[in-house]
Amino acid sequence: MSLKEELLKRMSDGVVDMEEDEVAEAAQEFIDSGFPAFEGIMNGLIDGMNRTSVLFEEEEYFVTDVLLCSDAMYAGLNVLKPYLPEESGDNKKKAVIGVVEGDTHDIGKNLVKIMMETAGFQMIDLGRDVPLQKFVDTAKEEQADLVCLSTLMTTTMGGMKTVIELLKDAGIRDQVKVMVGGGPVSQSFAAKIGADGYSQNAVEAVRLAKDLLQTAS
Amino acid sequence: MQLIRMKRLPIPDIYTECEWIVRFAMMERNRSGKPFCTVPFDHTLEAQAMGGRVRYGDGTAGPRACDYICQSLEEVEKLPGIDIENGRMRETLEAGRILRESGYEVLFQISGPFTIWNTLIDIKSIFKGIRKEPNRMEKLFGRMEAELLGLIGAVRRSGVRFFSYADSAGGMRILGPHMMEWATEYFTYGFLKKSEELLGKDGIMMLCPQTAYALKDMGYAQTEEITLPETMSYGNACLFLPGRAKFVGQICINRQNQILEDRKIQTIALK
Repeated sequence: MSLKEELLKRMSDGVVDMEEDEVAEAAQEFIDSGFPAFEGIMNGLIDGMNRTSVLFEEEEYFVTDVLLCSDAMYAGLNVLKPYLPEESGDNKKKAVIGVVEGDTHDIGKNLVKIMMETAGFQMIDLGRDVPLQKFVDTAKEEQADLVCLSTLMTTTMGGMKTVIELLKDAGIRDQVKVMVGGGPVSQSFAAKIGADGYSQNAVEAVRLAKDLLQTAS
Repeated sequence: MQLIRMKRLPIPDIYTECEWIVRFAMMERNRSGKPFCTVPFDHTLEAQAMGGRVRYGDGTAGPRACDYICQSLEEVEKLPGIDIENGRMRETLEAGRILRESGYEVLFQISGPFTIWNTLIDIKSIFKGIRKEPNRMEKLFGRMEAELLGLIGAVRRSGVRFFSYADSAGGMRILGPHMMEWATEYFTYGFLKKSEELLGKDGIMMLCPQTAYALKDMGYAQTEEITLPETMSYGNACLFLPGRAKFVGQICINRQNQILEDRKIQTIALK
């Protein structure tokens, strides 16, 4: 195994094993050895997150595991990112994501954000307990392709419908796809409120986003 | 929330003032058809009593966490305990006492550690702590146990007999089986076992079914069955239990109006 392959493997394994320090160290060695940062990100860090997604789908890993894997990935990303050549990011699909007003449970939302970022989407994270109008304003300002809404509470589910109505009022409903998810949310609820799609978990969310925007996987 | 909007109830008074807590709990009981006046109305009370910041919301959404007051486990370790003498906690305890003295059964909702910490710190720090520093987290969970037992004692002294216990931020789908096992072994079982004494002769704790399942699955508890005198709702069946059992966990308390058609309620006996 060449030095480059060895370092890529260390990064990928480090992400899967949730070893932040190991990933950051391997990423630094990767840069110090003169290898391109982009390759480190794609074939090391993202490879590790892709393996994590598979483990999540196979129910070997759970939400907490994926969150910690993503921490390791970001530790590596912090090292590699400054060495990337400048890029506009214009060709990336843009998604606004957040937990609707009234709800502060953001674990699922964070997971979807991580998985979508890993899959190449540009994510604009509005956080949790987000005023409904803010989704619309941000989607408009950022010319987003997608709006992703999450909630864990039945009492705040209605906010998702309101966001869709506000998107209509703002005249941009046809320009964005709306995805919904979270504990009490279902496919039938998504259909009822006029969302474009529903996903049960973060891995499915990536597939759904790609399907809705018809992007290559 | 519907009730708050319909009756134009004052916010934050219905959450913070004893008199309003009593009125709101009674209205909610009458509206829902449940046998209990349930307090508190949200899951931020314990965290707020430890210094957490809470936004009371409006008629569309209830109290929830504002920004986190802790950025690290060190800061969580330095937090004060649950203050039962002041603020919303004191008002809520007093509301429970008044309702009991007025002849109502009160259900006091206790939140588990993950839910409480979720208001105080990015919960990811807790998950990371369990994986990377389990010994340190054992101590932190031990401290939370002492705080919650103190709260249960205070609730019992106010005359309340019924408790619910759930940890929505620490559910199976979030934690996964390994961390759920860890939490059950290092916190849930010990905490509930010690609660058993505080519940006394006639106290009942209604567990979240996920908690009950984890306890049974890990061999910490077994199910027993009590035959009811007639068909009744799960909530009403629980009223039949004081003196006969300490724990139940068959149905989520949010669905306590569900009728037990077979006239049987499953109780939980901790080992």
